[in-house]
Amino acid sequence: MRKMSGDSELGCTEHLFKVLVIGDHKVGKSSFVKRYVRNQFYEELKTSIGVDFSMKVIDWDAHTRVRLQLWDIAGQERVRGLNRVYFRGSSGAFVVYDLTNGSSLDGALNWKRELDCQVMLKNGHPIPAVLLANKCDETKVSRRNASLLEKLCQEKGFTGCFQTSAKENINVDEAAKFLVKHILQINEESMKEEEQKIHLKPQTNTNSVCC
Amino acid sequence: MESHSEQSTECPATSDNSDCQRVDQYGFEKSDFNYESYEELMSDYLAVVTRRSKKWSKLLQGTGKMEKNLKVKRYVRKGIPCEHRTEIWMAFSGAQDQLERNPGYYQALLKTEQHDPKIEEVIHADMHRTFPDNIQFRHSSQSCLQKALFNVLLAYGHHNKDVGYCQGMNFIAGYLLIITKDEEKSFWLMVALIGRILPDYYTQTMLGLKVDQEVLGELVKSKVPAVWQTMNQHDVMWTLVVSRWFICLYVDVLPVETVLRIWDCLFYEGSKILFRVALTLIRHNQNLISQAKSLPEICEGFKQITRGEYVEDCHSFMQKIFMEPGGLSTATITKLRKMCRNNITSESQ
Repeated sequence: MRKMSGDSELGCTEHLFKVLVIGDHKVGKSSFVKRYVRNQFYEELKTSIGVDFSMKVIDWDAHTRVRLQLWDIAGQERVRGLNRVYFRGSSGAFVVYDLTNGSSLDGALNWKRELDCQVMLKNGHPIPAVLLANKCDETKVSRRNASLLEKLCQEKGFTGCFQTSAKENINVDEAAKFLVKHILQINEESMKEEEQKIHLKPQTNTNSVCC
Repeated sequence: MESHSEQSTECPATSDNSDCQRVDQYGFEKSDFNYESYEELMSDYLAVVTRRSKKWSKLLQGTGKMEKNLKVKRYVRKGIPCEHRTEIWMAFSGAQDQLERNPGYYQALLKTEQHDPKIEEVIHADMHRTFPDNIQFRHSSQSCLQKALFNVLLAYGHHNKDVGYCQGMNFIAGYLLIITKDEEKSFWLMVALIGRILPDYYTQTMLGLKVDQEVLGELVKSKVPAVWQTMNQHDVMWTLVVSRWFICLYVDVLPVETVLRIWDCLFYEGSKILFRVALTLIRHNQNLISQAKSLPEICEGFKQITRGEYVEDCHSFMQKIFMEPGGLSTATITKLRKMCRNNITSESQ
């Protein structure tokens, strides 16, 4: 069940995408998800163990509905071995780090590498991943650092990067919209490719499936 | 054996419900708390607890050293009153022996000059995230348990370097502190649990945990085939739905009182009880789970079955775990563990 696209009677397309939320422990993954899905923030959340699911339904435009299945994956290093199996079938990822904790950026880059090893698109490209520099309400990022971050983001193959704050609700929706836009684009491209393949092989028994 | 009479005032049997409407006797705040149904359940349970309490007092009268026998086993399964919980857990898990044989060991671990800064950091990160819903773990609380929690986890991390600190252990140590109110005893109970009672759940590879998740899968396959089929059909791995159950030993999964009753048996009988609980939950709710049409529905189902009256009513739940899954011999578990361990290690090679 990777992604489900189907036309309903009204000509509205529904998509189901699995999106991972990964990163070191305590960078704010669960808080990001809670803010995005329920627009809530808790100062102190419990340590996440294992994986948590949330669903967000987005009416993207008049013809498109997107169901995002968010997989919030616990961050401690040793449980990663357990978690790796969750990666497969995902269409995109948020890779989160904590702006106030430098080592969590290295952690995020490790997570990205691991992600690219575990999942890829049909054409072998990495799945879209957005880097979230979370807790931006707690620290100021200088212009120079911001441009360094942009550069790093490109180098490491992230689709984009956002400074976010789940606490103050900064850039949460924006980052999500950005990721969904890219997932939809890729989805459309791959559908076109599939169609072309079918056109290239007109002799295949596409007509045999009739009602 | 020491007496713990000071704890009796905190028992459900004697706590004054009128001034703790939103906080239970362990300090947990109850959100979406239905006081009436809780009251009803508790007044029934209170009668049970009082009866058990009398029986236990009689049993413990004049005994020197507690020995395992069928009568005590039956008593443990029917619930240890909380005024005796610490002492019984300590006695039957071997923690008391260890404590007596190693005086000052716990304190020495804490005094070590070189604490591994990495362990300290990860433990520290989880301090505020252990029980934010428990008033005893708040900074504002007079006798805040956070420092004690930190100490127990740090000492354990030094005691067992292969394990160090693994997330989930914070919840376990937290419960131990709530019950024993004693750092050193909590430490030795951790040692008993992680070192002897459970297989290697918390080591770097978490192999024992992976094995037990698969063992549960095998047990479900033979005892609740409908659920096993559903899981298979939707390609859901067991770790996805039960890792929290095993890592946290049902803390924060099942209601507090139910967890404590499970732990009574865990300390006395060993880790087999964890399978009994899981199998009972799954078997009792097999229709709900096998009706699920997708992976998220299955996951939601597995969350749903850990809530509600069936698990709140801890006394009858504990009776059911020994009936509902049917026979479950230690030999079966040992055999399955061996088989699953072989499968996992050969897969990863």
